[in-house]
Amino acid sequence: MSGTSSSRVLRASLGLILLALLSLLPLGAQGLFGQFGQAATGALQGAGVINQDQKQAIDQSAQAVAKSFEDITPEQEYYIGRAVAASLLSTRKPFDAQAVTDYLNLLGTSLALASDKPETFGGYHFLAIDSDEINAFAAPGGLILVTRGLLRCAQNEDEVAAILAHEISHVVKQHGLKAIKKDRLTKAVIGVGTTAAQVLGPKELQEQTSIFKDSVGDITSTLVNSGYSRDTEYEADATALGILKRVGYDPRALEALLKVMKTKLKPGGNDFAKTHPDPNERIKRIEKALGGYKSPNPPPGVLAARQARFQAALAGI
Amino acid sequence: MSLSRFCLVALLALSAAAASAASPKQMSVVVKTTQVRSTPSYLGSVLGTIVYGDRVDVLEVQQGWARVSSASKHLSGWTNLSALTEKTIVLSSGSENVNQSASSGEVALAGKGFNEQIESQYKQDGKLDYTWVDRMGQIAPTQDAVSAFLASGGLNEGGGQ
Repeated sequence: MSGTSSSRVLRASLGLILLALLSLLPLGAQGLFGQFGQAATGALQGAGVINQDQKQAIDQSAQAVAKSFEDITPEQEYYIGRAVAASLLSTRKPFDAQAVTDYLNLLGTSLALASDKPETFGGYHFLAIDSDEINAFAAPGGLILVTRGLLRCAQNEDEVAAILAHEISHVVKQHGLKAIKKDRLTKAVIGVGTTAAQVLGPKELQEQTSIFKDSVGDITSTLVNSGYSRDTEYEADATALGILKRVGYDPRALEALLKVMKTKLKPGGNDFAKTHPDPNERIKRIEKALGGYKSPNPPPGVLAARQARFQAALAGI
Repeated sequence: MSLSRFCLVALLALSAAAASAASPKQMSVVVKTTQVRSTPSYLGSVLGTIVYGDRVDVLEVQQGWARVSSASKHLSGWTNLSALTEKTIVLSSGSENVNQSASSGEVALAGKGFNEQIESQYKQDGKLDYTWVDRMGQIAPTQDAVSAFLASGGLNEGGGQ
């Protein structure tokens, strides 16, 4: 093999490796990846590994992909979220108690309306799961599931509000969608859909359903197994503090809740402990974020009213 | 080009620019349904409902709320910005400009990509039960119930906004 052809092979290989690395990144890393990708291709071009045309081609495909996340319409987010919830509910039994469902939905809707995304395609809906595990799941678009085990950690309404505000924040920040591996959506979002609501042929339908299934799988396995990154969880905590403040709940309830959870979580457990950062670290960050914030001091009558309805709904949880 | 013709063209261009500056921005409803309210708050009384794909004129924006007007529904009032998009939502195929506009990124095509057909196939393949997902979707406390819940808990009505 001549020197020229071997260096051509090397250049092509490096280009492919770069593209492969970029395709492995989840959608959430797109912003970083866009800058990193261009810097990286610039470096490769500077080093003579790839030429200007190759650099442009790689940058363009990276941008086309980066664009795909924003191209997920709220309607598509809704269908993804429904599938994630259906998948989670296939192995988890709902806790079918009207008083609990009503309370969670009144409280949850009150919080969601104060978020930066009060309205989603299908709206926010809350359901308790009949499980002793300490866990909660937010499916894209606003379907939120909370276990009885987690609800039992809450000592008052403000702490239930803290649980729901954290989950609502995952929806507002679209953390679920960002867990989808980015190469899946290029075909689904950009490739198909030049006409609206077209009826797909059998082959296309199979292909699209397979991409859909894999995307739902990415989110579900993140929620159940790997968890979001620590920074994503800290972001959800910070966003939750804002929602609690706006509504008038004590944001320090999140801290109090984490302290209870800390005593109940089993290290190495197959639940929240596996998918969330250490409560101590979260508490430290919450304290720092709140700084000298003066917690609301509602009159005793108001607190008694909150506690009465909290107990009426969740006493038997 | 003669001077008079140049003046005419310039005048036409100027008046077109003035007309476009004066015409309000249009937005589309990007959620299943949303309300048009009397004030920029969830406390505002509901004047009417607008649905997915409806186009509205945006007359003013204030703290996350848009004052909108829908000529076709004879409605005018406030809608939360989270329910609106600057894109045009195309609900059915057949529009001549769909392909062209879609490529410029201005149009969100309803039903493209992941849609009801995909959901139905996914449900069938995975033998998934959507009963509870559908039930969840129907649980929606009324605005009056939410307001009463907030008031009795000594909390900020109107979602703190």
